[in-house]
Amino acid sequence: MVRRDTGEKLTFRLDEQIELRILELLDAMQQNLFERAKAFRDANIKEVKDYEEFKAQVEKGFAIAHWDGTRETEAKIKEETKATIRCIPTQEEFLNKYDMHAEGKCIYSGKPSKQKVVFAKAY
Amino acid sequence: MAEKITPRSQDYSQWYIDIVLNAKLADYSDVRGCMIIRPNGYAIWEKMQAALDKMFKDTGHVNAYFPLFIPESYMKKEAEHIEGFAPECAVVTHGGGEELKEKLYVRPTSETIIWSTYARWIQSYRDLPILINQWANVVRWELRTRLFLRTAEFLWQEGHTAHATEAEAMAEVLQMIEIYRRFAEEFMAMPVIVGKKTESEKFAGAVETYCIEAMMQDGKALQAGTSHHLGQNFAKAFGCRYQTKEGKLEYVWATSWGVSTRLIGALVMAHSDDKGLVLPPKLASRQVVIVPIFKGDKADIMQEATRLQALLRKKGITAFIDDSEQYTRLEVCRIRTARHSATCGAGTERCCRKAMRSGAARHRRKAYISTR
Repeated sequence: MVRRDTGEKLTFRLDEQIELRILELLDAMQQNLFERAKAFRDANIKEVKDYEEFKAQVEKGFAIAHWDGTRETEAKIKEETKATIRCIPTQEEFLNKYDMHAEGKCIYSGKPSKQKVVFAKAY
Repeated sequence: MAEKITPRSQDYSQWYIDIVLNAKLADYSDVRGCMIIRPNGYAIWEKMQAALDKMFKDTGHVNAYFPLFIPESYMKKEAEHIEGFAPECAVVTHGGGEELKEKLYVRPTSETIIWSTYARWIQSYRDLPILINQWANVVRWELRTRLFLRTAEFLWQEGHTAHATEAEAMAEVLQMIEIYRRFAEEFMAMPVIVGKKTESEKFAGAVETYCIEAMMQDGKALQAGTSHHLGQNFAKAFGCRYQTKEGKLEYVWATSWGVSTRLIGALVMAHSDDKGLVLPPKLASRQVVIVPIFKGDKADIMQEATRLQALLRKKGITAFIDDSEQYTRLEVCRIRTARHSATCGAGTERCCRKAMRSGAARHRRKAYISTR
């Protein structure tokens, strides 16, 4: 048997409840695809400290950055980098992981910011 | 039709198009911006529909269908809504050879036609909540299109709910974005970030928009689903009020939420590699492909392959027997048969009998039935 997700070759005996082995394998593949995609995503999300770093990061992944909360700043960043605010995250786990509620200064305007948001170029 | 797949490292956009075309998921159409969803692509959509529809029904929603055409006067009732959608609407001006008295918009989304209807259906608190979903096509006049990801016409589901209180509407908004998160992560195997849109990115006519955002393999984001808190905006625009238990008149609270065939594009981009399409088992229409390798008695091997297929099917696994070697031979045989039939009848028959003896024809038919 060959797994499409990893290319791994496996040998099973046909008489040993192969249907159950295949069910397990399909579950493992489903899980592996998720884990792989998650590892890739997490590796390509980065908190950025300044606008230069920001511009480089949105070329390869998501940037977590402070934003002053204004439409003007959002529009300017979009115009200059094509990156948009994808969302203001709401999941507890994500908020904690990236300390999203910490106060700071806007990546673009330098004005005080009460929260970090997720920027990226989008389809 | 692309034959080779461009590596991701070389040209990610071209790689995506190559995958979609090679896997026969979709094709271009002569109608600008519109796509043809081929059977392989539609099979993924059907799997998505089945999983989502079950999640909707499990949370008390029901399906209905509203008209494709929306009178211009309805579209114009909610100011922000028409401002946001007007530039990308297709508008019908003629019907039956005559100019229409009122232009009809081809739905870009159905809030207006649905809320004009809810205004008739809702009088009292007893009429609430309404939890309706619609599976439909919508049209948004996109100039720069890309198969599945951005097309002028696409398929989607749109839920439109009506509630007595803001708290109840908000709970619905959050429940639906959570259903989308679960669907993306558990079925599509695609991790997402749940969050709110900014004022400038939210849905035209919404108070708040919640979304799920996924990362594609080139590091770009793809919005995979949205759930909107519409407040009382549409109820006010359409005069939809209900009588409370205490006998007061209040405007109804609304939500809407949707995902579209864009998810197929996301699925392709999230998992496929330079060799071709990779689908998570839960959304694959062929979870297992059995490839018989013929050594010795072919009939025996095909019988074993068919037995295995039946065994897997019993467990709910979709298994497909790819006996393309046999298929090719049989095709060759058929072509020969056609040629021979004009010249020598005996040869024809021998040829066919030989093919039948190998069992290929019978088994092939069985295998196909199981996957369609």
